[in-house]
Amino acid sequence: MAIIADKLAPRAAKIERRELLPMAMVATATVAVLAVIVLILAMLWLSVTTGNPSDPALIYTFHHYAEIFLDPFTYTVLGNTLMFAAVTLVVALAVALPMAWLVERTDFPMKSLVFALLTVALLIPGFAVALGWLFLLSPRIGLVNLALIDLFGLEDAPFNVSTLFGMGVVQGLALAPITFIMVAIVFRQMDASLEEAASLGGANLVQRMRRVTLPLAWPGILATSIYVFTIGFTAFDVPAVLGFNYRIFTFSTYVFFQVNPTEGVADYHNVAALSVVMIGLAMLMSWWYGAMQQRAPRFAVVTGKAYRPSIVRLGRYKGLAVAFVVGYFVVSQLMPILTLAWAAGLPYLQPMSLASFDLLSLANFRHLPQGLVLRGIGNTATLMVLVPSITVVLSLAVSWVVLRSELRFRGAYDFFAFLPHTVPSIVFSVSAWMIALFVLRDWLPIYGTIWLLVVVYVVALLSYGSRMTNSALIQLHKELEESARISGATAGGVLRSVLIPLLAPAMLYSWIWMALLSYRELTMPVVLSTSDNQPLSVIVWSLVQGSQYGQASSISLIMVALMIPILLVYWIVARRTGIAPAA
Amino acid sequence: MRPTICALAAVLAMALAAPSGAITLTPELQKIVDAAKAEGALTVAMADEPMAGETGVEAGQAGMNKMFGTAIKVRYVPAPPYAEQGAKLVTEMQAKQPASTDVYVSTAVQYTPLWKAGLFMPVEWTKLYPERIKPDFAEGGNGAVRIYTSIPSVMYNKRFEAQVKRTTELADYLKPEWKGKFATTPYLAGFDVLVSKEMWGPQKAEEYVRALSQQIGGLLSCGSPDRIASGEMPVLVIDCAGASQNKDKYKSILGAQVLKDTAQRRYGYLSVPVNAVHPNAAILYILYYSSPEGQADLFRIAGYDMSDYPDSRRGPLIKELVAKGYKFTDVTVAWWESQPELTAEHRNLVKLLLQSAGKK
Repeated sequence: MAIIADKLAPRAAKIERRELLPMAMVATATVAVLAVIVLILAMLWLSVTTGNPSDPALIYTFHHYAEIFLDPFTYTVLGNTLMFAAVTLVVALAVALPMAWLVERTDFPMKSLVFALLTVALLIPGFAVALGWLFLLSPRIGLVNLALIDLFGLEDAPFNVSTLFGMGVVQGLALAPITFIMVAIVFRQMDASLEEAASLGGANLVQRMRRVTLPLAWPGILATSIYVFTIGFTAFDVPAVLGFNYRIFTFSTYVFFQVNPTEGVADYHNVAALSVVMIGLAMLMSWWYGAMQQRAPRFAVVTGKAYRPSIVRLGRYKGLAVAFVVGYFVVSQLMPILTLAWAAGLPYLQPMSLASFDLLSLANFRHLPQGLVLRGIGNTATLMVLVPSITVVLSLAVSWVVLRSELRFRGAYDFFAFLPHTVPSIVFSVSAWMIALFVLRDWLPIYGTIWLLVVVYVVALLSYGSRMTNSALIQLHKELEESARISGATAGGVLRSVLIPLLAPAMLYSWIWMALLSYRELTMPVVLSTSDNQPLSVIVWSLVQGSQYGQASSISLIMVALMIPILLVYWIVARRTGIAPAA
Repeated sequence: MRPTICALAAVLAMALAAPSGAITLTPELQKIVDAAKAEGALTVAMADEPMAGETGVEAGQAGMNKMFGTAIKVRYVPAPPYAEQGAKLVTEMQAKQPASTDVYVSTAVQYTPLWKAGLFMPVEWTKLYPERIKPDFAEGGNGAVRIYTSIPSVMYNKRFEAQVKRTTELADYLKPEWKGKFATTPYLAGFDVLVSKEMWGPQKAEEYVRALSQQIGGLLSCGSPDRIASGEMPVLVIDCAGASQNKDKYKSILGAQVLKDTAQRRYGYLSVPVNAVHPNAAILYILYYSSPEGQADLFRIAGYDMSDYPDSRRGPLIKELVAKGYKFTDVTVAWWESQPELTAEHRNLVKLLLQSAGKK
């Protein structure tokens, strides 16, 4: 009997080990999802209390909600935010829809280059582009405005970028690439035979677009629209740079203003109440987006191996199409960046003239606070390594739970993992700030350290990371894992030998993408940074706040330049792994 | 008679022994110097404008180390302006966390509520540096030392000099020819004095701000000389400090005009938070900026100094304006404290401006 028991012991240990992996995955995913839930609950709790959060004699009350709902300015801010997000969406769609159609359904030349440039456009820091736009279209100093006034003898500047419409246009142009990528996939998956049938029936291009292409693409476009609208709804960079000085508040900038009042002490409880309202709206949009995505497959008409996209010949319109795409890049990216370079070379911004050319120098670069910039680069680099690494691991665990486990509430994991996309990241930042200050202070003193930023970045990027790992995991049939298990592999072995090698390209792609997103992030560190953990983006923000446009432009340009090698690595990886949108 | 003569002789001997304003290393001060040496570092987080950011910190580090024979490494960190930073500091204090800065710069408006919340460390400034810091200069329970004097002014691009020179009071900026051509600050700098009963009172101030909100072309924070120089907002009514025109970079481009109804002498203070990580080094830093050398550095890099010092370059301007009939209000912590209603009244004005501007 003893001999049999000895023989069985390793087998029992093996079985035990097999169960460890699912447990570890569930535990890791739970940690990730709990982080999201805790940050939201902290806001909820803060919104119904009054007084110092560490005070044991806290008073519970709903009067903060009454206060914000009775303040007419709340509705102004909400109206501003909706208007801004709506303009953003319209502009993003106006650029992305035709561009996606051109690239996916026509014989437009240099399609790979378009994808490459759009990726670059997506990753250039939003605040840098916004700053460039300010220098271009500010009513008094905007180079375009001044040129037009000079040329046509106008009395007033024709453009003003510091309006809700202007801010929406800038944000929309900045979001056109992500909209393009999402819509392009929809166009790519459509069955050409339906359009061909319509064509044989005598429908011209416009009729085919109106009656076949757009109705088929509609659910995908609607899902994309909700996605882009939520980004506009939660945006901070563009409204902060363009609207803050004119006190045109959207939700994120208003929360920032409330947390950093121009006099007195911030009322975090009112901020929390406002945030809870926004979280409610965010959950609604999350649910709507999910519902639209579930509806989308009903319209999927890709016909498997026989699928072949129909290509519309542009003929004599090819030049016009190229001009449209090139025009987008010139207007949305090149002009603002060149304007930044102009501003970086001058002691203070001024219109182009012979006199101003004489003033061009590298003085702004030479006089940059070197210690500060080096610290900023160090902190940014740390974030770029830690954040994607942790997020990829957590995202994989969440995806595994959602797609591979039999857990009863696995749908909730997916919902909460996606929620950070719709909840303004400034809400998470304020919540994390309060928790770090008042709850964690004695046993996990991360306030003022880079780790606090890492945690909040990871939470905010969880939605993106988990979408990537979800997509990759969906494509791997369970049979692969089952075969490995039948061959005697443990759960860990399956993960190590089957899943991770197959998922590696997607994870690497996701890692680099999130590293780049961490690089350009401003919203979260602007709330959470103190003396030791400021990344480069916050240093630029501080300089913009201090109206030191020359130095702010210089650092922005350095940031753009530093991105180039990372972008190259990203693009090579994307091409080699076949995960790039173009592939 | 003999004690008086002895005292006079002692004062004379001290005066001859040390140059004007030179600091005497008393045992109390020596203790602080020793403790600061042990700390070895100092973090100065503040907005760029009040004390010239990194440049100010570099000058402060060099001057302080020379003055006290220390080798303290001072680190500059950009921070939001006075009030925003104060809000963060008080939250850190309530959470029993170390302060994110060892030195805090403010004016009476921001200092008073934070001082009441217990944010600042009282220091016997007059005992540490009796040669310079007179009892009046240390305010708010010895938590604040006067470092510079702001004179709120209309800050303008010299392209607009002729028009600005024609204005003498705030009401001039409500005239039709000024519509949309100037900015004001989002926090209505200087309006706390106007709202007080000594000046306009709340009703008149509210009427003015209501009209002002429809007249301005935008909002601009104090300390935005680049934006005035570039012409983005060529006139600011009114700038907090009225000092940028004294800096070399802006001498030929910017001008400042003091209006009769906003003639104020507003002091800028340096303080040490109670939860500062390097409090002793912070004290030495503040002492340096109180010295003649520190004040000269400050004028060179920030365009102002403290007008009550005999060597001040800011003082003569005030004397000149007083001679012309300007009546200055001294905005000190005591003045602010004596009018507790000002906070709410000023806040209402700011809200009025902000909401009107936000609707544009």
